Amino acid sequence: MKCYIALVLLNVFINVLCASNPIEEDIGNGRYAIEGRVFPPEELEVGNWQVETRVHVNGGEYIGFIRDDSTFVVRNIPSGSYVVEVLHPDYMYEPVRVEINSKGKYRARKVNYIQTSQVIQVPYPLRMKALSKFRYFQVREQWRLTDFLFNPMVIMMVLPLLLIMILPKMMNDPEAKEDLKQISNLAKMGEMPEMSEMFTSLFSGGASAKASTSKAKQVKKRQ
Amino acid sequence: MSSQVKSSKKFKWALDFNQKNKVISTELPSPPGYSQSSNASYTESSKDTDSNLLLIKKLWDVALGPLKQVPMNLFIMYMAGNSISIFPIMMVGMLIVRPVKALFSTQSTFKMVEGTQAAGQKFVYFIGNVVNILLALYKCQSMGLLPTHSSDWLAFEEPQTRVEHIGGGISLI
Amino acid sequence: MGMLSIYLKPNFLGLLKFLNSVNWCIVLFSLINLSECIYEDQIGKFDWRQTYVGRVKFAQFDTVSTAKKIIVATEENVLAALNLKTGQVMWRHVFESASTGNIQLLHVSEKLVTVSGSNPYLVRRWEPATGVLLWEWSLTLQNEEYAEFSEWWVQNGLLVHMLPIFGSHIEVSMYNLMTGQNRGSTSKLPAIWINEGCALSVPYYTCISGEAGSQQILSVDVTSNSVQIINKPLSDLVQTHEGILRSLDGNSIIPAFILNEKKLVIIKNNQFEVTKVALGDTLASVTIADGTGEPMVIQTWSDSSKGFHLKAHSIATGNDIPEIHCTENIVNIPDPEISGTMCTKSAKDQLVCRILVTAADDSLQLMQQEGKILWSREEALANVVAVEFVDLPVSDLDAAIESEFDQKEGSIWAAFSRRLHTQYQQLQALIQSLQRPEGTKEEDTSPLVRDYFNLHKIIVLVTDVGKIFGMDNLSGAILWKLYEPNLDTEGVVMFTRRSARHPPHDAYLTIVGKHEETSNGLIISLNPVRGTLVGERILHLDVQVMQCTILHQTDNEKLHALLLLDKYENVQVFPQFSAPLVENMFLYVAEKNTAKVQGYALTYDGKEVIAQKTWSINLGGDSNSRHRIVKVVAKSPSERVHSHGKVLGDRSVLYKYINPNLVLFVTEGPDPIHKDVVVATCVDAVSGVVAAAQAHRRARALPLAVHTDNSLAYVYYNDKHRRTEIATMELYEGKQRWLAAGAAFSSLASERAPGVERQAYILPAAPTAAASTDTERSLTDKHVLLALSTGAIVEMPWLYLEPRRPVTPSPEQREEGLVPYAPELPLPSEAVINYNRTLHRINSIYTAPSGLESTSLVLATGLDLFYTRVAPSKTFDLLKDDFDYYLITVVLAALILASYSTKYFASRKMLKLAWK
Repeated sequence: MKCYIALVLLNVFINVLCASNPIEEDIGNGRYAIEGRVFPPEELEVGNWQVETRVHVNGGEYIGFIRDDSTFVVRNIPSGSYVVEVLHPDYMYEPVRVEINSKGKYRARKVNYIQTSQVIQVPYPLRMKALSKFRYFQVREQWRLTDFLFNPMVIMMVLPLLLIMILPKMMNDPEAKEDLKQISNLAKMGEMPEMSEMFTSLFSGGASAKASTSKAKQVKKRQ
Repeated sequence: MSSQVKSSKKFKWALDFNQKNKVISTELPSPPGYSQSSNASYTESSKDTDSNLLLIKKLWDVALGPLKQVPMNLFIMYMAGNSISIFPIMMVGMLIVRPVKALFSTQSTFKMVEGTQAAGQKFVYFIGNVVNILLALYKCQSMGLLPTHSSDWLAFEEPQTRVEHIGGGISLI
Repeated sequence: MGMLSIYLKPNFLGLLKFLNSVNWCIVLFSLINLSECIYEDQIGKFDWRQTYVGRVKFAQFDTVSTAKKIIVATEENVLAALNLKTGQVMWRHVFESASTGNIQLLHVSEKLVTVSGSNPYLVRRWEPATGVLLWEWSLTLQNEEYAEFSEWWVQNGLLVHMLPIFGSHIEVSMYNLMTGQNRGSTSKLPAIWINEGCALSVPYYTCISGEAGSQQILSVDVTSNSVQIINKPLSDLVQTHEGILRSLDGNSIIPAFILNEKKLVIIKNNQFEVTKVALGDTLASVTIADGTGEPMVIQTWSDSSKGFHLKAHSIATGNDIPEIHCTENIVNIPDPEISGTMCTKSAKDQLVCRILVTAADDSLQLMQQEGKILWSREEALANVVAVEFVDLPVSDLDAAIESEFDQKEGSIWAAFSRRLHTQYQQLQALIQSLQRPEGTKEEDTSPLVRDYFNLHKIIVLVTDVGKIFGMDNLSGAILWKLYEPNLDTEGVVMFTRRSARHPPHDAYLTIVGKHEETSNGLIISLNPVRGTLVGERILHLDVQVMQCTILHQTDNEKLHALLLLDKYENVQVFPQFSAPLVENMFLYVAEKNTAKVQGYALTYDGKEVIAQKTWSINLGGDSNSRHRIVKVVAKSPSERVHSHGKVLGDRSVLYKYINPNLVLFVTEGPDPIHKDVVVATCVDAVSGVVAAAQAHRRARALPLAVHTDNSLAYVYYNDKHRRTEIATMELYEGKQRWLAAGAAFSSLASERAPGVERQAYILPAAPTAAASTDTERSLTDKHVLLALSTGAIVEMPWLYLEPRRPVTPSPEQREEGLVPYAPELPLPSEAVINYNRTLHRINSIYTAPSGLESTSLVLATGLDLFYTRVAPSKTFDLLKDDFDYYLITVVLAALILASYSTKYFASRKMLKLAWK
């Protein structure tokens, strides 16, 4: 009974304390803040890059802005898992997954959508560096002389042309002529028997033989 | 006398027309360069029949021309490959156009033919060219140029028409 | 020579074979090149972007810094600085679109302070010149229930927060603006007399309380340490027994309020003082501005007779200040409201005032003291609800040509004589155009005509506030505007009932919406090219409309009839005489919150059109499922399918299941085992048959889906793996056709279910809008355009979303060109069609076909408007931009010259040789 009363009194006491203080602390109510620092690329160091750069948490569910000392804080975030992206129209920053558990512990790791349980830790408070410039455009094809010269069609037409012009000059050389003659002689050795001869003999075999013997007799007679 | 003997020894080609023996031989001496042995094997046909046979032989050459081209065409087809690019297309074009042209000019090639084997030769020529064309078509088929599958006629099919029409969406209330 | 070739041959063959086998590889890499992006010199040639801020909530002139600007905070949760002279946005910060981004206070002194959020609140301080955030601190209130009635203002470097709790007290908290420390505990001022009709006039809170007849006006300064209530009976100030209070607009420099819409009462020296200023109209917007020395009352209103009125009076004397008087006849500022004023004395000691006016149609104008408008911004375009692309009419000459070919009757001689006639007309036109020296005068008055490629169209935009715009798509200029204050645009639908292709009839567009107050149907019909009302004009119906559609058949004037299904399931046909044309028409109505779909068949029974209930489906499973429909997508009615099947690698055809009556429903609901379930169902709207369905567990649906010929794609958020995924489905008949080619497809006669190919991919970004490109003949590929929360619009080829992507491709699949499966979709920066012009909060993308087959027109709407052209298969029907005409003509001329000269020289050489 006594402890029950004590508990009730304690409860009332705590409530009164809370009621008198309208501002709640940021931490302790389930509302956390994600902090970090953005490092712009060197070209943008001078200028208004803080206005063009935004920090999106979970695709725009919470938006943070960059202060002039290039840090950012995104407040009033309940516990959970969030993807923090720094967006700039020209430069790419890598997104980071920040997990805040119910006790208020932060863990920042690289974003991997395929292997969602892979943990490659990244220092927290976040340090976002510009990775590379976005390449939005194609380069126009330039016409280069090498493209024209090494085109296979061109080579196929130009090379025979050169050969035609060079070969006659080579032919005029007497040594080359003899070499060619030898080659053609060699090539002739493996000649197949003439098919036309075969066919001729096949179809008109009888007639030609008779004709030839009669001719021979005639010749002999004349002698 | 000695000069006569000398003359017979010195000049190989000199002929001695003095006849010591008054033997009348019925046979004349053979003309210079003539040898008895080659009589049998020498067959000389008369102008008419000899030229006829030559012509026929020549015409057979022409008739068998296309068939001789077949191995070379096979080789060209093999070298050209199955992709669609300028070189294979040129080769296939050449393979088709040559036999077709040859078929059309059959008449002019066999213009001078009178012999008995004309029909046979023409037929063989024709067959040879047809074989070449078939080879070229086979090449086209393996390259995928012939519209043999239904996918080739897909683009010419009429579009589907619909009978019923719909409208609507989420209730506007 | 022969020896060489013997050695080279095998290597050459081997090379050929190798190249053949890696053919697919080359094709793949050339595809990955993804050269859909444009060249750098094409920026701005066929795209434009317009940035908006939204309806202005708070505005203040910032005259401290060098560049004169106006700082605005809007209803769209945007903080922006507008250039005073031109009205262009100098810098802009977009807060969250949810209530956490609502801006509660804007205060401009030497620095800019905003309070945003809705418990917890964030107080931020900005640099007005550049917009850079200086610091911020957070503020949370204990009392949640009345938080929305809280008021904020800055006084003497302190941020004051006042929370009225009606019927009991006022809670006032004051914070140090710089540091956020609480000055003390919250003070509670007992005030039983406060109610909802109170008006705040900083720092006094004024109320009327008491019973009718003996009412009292009470006012209290909430910031002072001593609680002093000014109490006066109402009858002292006004004659009537009832009192209505209204606070002033703008940032009044003297605390004051309006009593009974007639009198202006200021609070001075703890006294009420009725001024001698009379209000011109009961709805006038009044503010007290600093007229360089003496305060003055500026009021503005607009009425139906004269239009816009602007008047100013001196507070002390009540006299009219003549310099501030609207002399121009402006009629198109409905219900103006003064957002801010700034008055200075010019060099000649004249009063120069700049007045910022917001109208009921969300437009923002800056006026000079005589009513001249310096600039105006149409902020209604920050909330576009519906878009339609309308073709322009053809020119008279082209119309004549088309009409010549239209007439099918007549003999050959008639056609010949017609042809001669049109050619004579064309000759006349040509001679006239040559005779005219420059003809520039003609172009100003010539009406808009279609260009050759039909790329020039008119975009009709319907905005949330009820304003309809007609915009030129090439320049983004507004051609006409129409404001209908009674139009409630929730679920508004637009139909093009007649295109401009049928001269002499003009184009006809109908907008079906709801009346603001009664929720009955409201139909607006207009000519989209000129913006004039035609036909039914503005028609108020006396019944609520459940669903509407247009008839596919046209009457003899080429007009599609409008069919309306009202709440009691009666059908109305506009125009009435088109009722006999209703045939083969089916309607489906889906209910969002119960996930029920009802199908109707519309038939004409000789007298009128009746709607018969034919089928109904419970998409959630049973009637207690608590599912709700997230998105409904039907195919575009003018869509054509070009090829009936897909050609596979072995040259056979995989026939597609093309059902023009399919509708995709994406629903979401709770599940006892898995937390949330997303179900995608594909229903034939004529027969009610479910063609395909897919369920995803532990997922939340996003309202993004795409449905074109036989393929569907929809986006959902996978809660288990915490990533966004796209699921795609494709429907196929198989290797054999079901119907003969060219046969009519009837949903009621089909008995077989199609085969479904499914796949899901991970999208490594958060999408906010999705659409598919659209072309006239559907020859080009279809690409899906996704708008991401990063502000980029990415063009994703269907090749990557295809469900048939194999894990290990076989040679036939490689031949077909299928990309191997990868779980994550690539989002390269070359695929971003709006390059580095980021767009904030895109909520829809609309596409339309153009006259060119390769090009599709794209409009993205949201907080910004962006228009561009997309060529999914690159511009295959156009010569490329940098086609080098010069090089080709030079080379051609050189070759001709070379050939003739070599011919000449060769003949000469032959001649010489022959003479030797």
